[in-house]
Amino acid sequence: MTLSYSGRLPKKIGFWHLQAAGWGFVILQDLLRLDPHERHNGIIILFIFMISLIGLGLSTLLRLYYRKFYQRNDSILKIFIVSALCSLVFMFVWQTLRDILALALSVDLSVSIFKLLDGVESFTGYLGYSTLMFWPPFLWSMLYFGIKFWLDLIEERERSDKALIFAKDAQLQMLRYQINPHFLFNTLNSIQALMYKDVELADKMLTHFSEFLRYTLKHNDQTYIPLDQEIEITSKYLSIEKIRFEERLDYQITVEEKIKKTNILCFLMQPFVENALKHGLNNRMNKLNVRIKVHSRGEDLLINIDNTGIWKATDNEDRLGITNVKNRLENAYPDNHKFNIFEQDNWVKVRIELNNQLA
Amino acid sequence: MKNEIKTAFIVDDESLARYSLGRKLEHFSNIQVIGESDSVSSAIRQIPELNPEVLFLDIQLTDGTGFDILNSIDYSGKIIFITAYDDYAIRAFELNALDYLMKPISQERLELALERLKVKSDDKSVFSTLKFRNDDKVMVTKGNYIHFIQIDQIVVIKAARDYSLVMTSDGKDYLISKTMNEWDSRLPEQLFCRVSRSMIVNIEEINNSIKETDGTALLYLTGISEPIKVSRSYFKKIKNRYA
Repeated sequence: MTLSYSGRLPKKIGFWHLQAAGWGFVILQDLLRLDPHERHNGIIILFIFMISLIGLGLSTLLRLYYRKFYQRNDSILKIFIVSALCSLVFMFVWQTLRDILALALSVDLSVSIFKLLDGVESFTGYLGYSTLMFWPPFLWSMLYFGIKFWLDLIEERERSDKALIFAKDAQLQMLRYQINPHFLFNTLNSIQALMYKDVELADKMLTHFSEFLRYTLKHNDQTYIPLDQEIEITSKYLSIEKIRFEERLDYQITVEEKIKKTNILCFLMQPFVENALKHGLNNRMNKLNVRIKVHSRGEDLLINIDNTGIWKATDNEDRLGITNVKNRLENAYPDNHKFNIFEQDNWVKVRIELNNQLA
Repeated sequence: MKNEIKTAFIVDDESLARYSLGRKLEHFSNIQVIGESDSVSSAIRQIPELNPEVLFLDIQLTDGTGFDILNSIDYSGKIIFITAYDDYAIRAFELNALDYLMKPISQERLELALERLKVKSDDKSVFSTLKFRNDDKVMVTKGNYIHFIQIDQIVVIKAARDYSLVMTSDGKDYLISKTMNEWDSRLPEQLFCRVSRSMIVNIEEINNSIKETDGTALLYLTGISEPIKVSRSYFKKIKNRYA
């Protein structure tokens, strides 16, 4: 089962919004900390804007790196160490760029925003300032990973909820197809009648019916089984219906010997056979003929299900059935199957082609 | 009365099912199976000819449904429906308080159904109170004959003492032993509106309404030549609900 949720999860918090807000805040508090006489100095204000823009650019580069490095199950310690190392690099680059910029704009590095730690003498100077410059990128990194974890958690939860619903839906639908209640109760009714009329036949019908039920309950919509098993169960189904409808139903099944053990997705034929019976017996004057042929062509496996009934694409229930088979084929044989239904010379023909199955 | 023999007819498309029911009916000395049929087409031919008193009617037949048979013949006897599994049919039986048997049929349940035939058919004690849906079919008798009309095909219902006159979009009318209050409580509100004490109309069938100077209004309905006069308060009610 392939699930695709790309683009489904609303990114509640946009990266660029946070970037703009964060660095905007840095600019604002730098401006507020300026001494009154510096506030009218255009060069200093430009300088403040420029170093934050450099910070924004560098942190965007950090993001590119983190995105590549980050994996869902990375340990906290690893993330912590990587963040610290990256922040150090960030710090030196940022500081160097700042110094170059200061030189170019001839800004005196003693402007008030750099005199943060006036009272703490030992932290002044280049090293002291570096220690201070380490924290913004590190905090930035922690925020980045924190938000990422959080979003992943939300996505994970949504994904598992959806997968659960999807699986349950599929399962329910399969059960509905496999055990058509009409088929179930009519078969029981026929067995009840046969008990008085033909005990041997009642015995046979009951055995076939239990085998059909067992198969249905044992496998699910993702089970692959040898072709001959799928054929076996389809023929059991048809033999039960043959007892019910007597001479009104005829069927032939032919399978190429050498492909009998090839694994295929189960319940592929059942919906079409059931459909054929549902519509094909509509006119009692006509006998219904069902012909199933499975053969190989090179490495491809070809399944033909033909019947003399009517193809009703308008029936809601049938459309649902066909859609279900289509989806299952799409999931099980993503790029290597073909599926087609058409009418030709009063036959309804179903063609399923499973490519490269016999390699 | 007890020993009076009733004639019965079985409709089922599977010979085994007919055999099984026929065999079970052999246990009842007062029932005599006079014929059986395996399709809608042959049942339509045979039933009027044989005119059985009891009809055992399977719903899901290969060339149609048991209801199709009742819609195309005039049958006035009793009916016991049979189904293997069919939500839609079972709903129809329950809506119309009809008796039905589920396959495989049990001898006890069959006995009970035959017992019930002796009770007068218009016994209201078993009358269902299920609310109708637009696509439900309600069984109506015209004279002695049985028909099914779909709820959303009803254009107007008029009171007629203890009965009601139902007019359908195909221009037919039926006298039914249901009171206006019974209809009012069971019809879907989205589609039907009481426009006076003696009238219920299908909203979708209102083509035009003309307001008079005194606040009353005239409603023109599909297929009904004479407009229906509505009092001021009822007209207000309609406008508030559907405008």
